[in-house]
Amino acid sequence: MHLSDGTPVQTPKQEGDRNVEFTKFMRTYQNMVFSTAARLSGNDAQAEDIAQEVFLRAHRRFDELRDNPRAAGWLKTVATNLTFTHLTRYRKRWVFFSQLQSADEGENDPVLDFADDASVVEEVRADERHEYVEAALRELPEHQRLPLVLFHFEDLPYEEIAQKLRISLPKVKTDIHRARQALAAILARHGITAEQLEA
Amino acid sequence: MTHPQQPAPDERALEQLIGSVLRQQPLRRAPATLEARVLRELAVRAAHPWWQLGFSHWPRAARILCLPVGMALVPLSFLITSRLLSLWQSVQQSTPANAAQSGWRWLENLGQALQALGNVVTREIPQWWVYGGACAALLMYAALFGLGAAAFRTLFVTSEPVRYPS
Repeated sequence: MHLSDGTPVQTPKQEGDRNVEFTKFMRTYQNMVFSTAARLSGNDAQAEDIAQEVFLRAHRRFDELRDNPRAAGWLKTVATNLTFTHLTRYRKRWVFFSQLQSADEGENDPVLDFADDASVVEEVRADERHEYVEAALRELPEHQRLPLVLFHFEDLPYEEIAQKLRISLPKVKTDIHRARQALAAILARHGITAEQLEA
Repeated sequence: MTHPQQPAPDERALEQLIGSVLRQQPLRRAPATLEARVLRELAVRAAHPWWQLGFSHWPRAARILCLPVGMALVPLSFLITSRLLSLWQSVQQSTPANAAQSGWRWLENLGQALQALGNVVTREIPQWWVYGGACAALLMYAALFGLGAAAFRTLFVTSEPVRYPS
């Protein structure tokens, strides 16, 4: 997405109006930006930092973004890229210390039978279920959460995910599959059944 | 083993289920502090002149100008270095050799002292002490590395506990 980088000179009144408009703009998109960063990073504090940086960049280009129908896409792309930058900064350490265990992780997970869980009687309300799902996403290891979020929330194809994460296509598919299994297992552990999920 | 191109029925059901669950997820609510943080940071940045901010915040003209200035600095630094070298050489030639050499005398003495120490170590200390000491140092380094890894995993990897609604 091409957006030029102009910084026009403005009077204080114009600057004040601009800030009011920018605040409205921020209120429109802040949940989307924060959600993208939070789901990818799995950390709310980091997501807030990333969202702040996204809006600071948006402010510099606000004259082009304010009436641009592609503003949401631009913000989402910047949020995704900044999250990747943030995660890659720690990736080498992270891979060394955290993913040593991930090679065989999930191999011994029991296969879930979604149709066979009638023992749970407590009905979980929809908003609570949403919170459970978000918490379960945060609980996933990074190498599973990232491709899962990119596939299901960002609608990226496997090939693009592999390219973005610099991993092989089979690994992307395996990680996403294991992420789904892990997510379902976490939710089942907290009493959420397939029927409730589909409801 | 399931072929990745042809997912098993269970796998497809799981994909559809998780896909539909995640699609139904509403956007997360941004923290109430985010807006204030952004506005405060904008005010702080507005109070600073552009050249005190990061390079990416500089006006485009200034950023573009940096390229020729940077390129000009390379030959300039070579020029200054060569001038300084020639100046140094002329100073050396104009002063007595003894005075110039006295500045290096301490370095020579240090080298001789180290050599003497090395001779004492190799002559007086048994070889296996030296090898044993090296092995012990390596082991201690590995132990320290392991402790660092354990501390990292304990303090940072699980830094944000997952909270479920009560």
